[in-house]
Amino acid sequence: MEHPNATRMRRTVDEFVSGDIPALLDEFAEDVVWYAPGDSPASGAFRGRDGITRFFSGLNEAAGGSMNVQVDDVLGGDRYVTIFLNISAERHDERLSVVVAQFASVDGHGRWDRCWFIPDKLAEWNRFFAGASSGQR
Amino acid sequence: MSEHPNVPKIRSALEVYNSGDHDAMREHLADDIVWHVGGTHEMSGDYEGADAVVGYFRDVRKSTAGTLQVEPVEVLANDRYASILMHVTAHRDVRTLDVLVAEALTLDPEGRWKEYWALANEQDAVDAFWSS
Repeated sequence: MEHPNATRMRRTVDEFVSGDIPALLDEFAEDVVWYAPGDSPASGAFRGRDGITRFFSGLNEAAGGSMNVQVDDVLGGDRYVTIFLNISAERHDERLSVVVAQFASVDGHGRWDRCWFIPDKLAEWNRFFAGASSGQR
Repeated sequence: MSEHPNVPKIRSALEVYNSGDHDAMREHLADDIVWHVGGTHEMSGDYEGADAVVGYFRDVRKSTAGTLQVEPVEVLANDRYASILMHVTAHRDVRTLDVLVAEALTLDPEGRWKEYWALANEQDAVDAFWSS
């Protein structure tokens, strides 16, 4: 049987995919910190629900609506969860196909308070998202 | 919820890593492992094959005079995947590293590590620590 936190993370990803932003933001603590790697403008530490909104908007903008997110697997525990996502997108002649491990910690209210967003192929990720909107450190 | 058998295997591998016994650590790696090191420092890049990865481990240990230690905060695993949250500390000349790193692994059917990728909470600090 799947851990409830794993189920909650699947729901969070569903809300991102369906564009249900109010429900998506409600999954996160108000003081959430979201770490994203690389040297594109979509990199760095994004703080608070405003910060993650900027990160998600940047991804959607850069992918121009072409982003496809498929859940491959989820590891769930009482305090931490990791979801493995196959993410693909296209923009002009550029194609993106990466596995992202999204590692999150759960606060006392069942909300994500720290998240590490970790693509396996960083160079490919950076190239594709070089035009995404900037994060606030 | 019972612990998956790959969890104690990973914890054991991390203890071996801390001991610096790279030959024993190699036993935990698939022959065709790919190890991605993020960031913009001199260790960044992809290391392909167990020999290359063990060579990277040796370089890390040499550069830090054996001070780099990993302390797992959480280990999650199933048959195919694992993730680790760990404190990583090290010294290099006058520089000190103290970061929280989230790591992802794919596993082969024997529980050996096939692919590794990771992200620190302070990537700038990692880049500064490893810069020459």
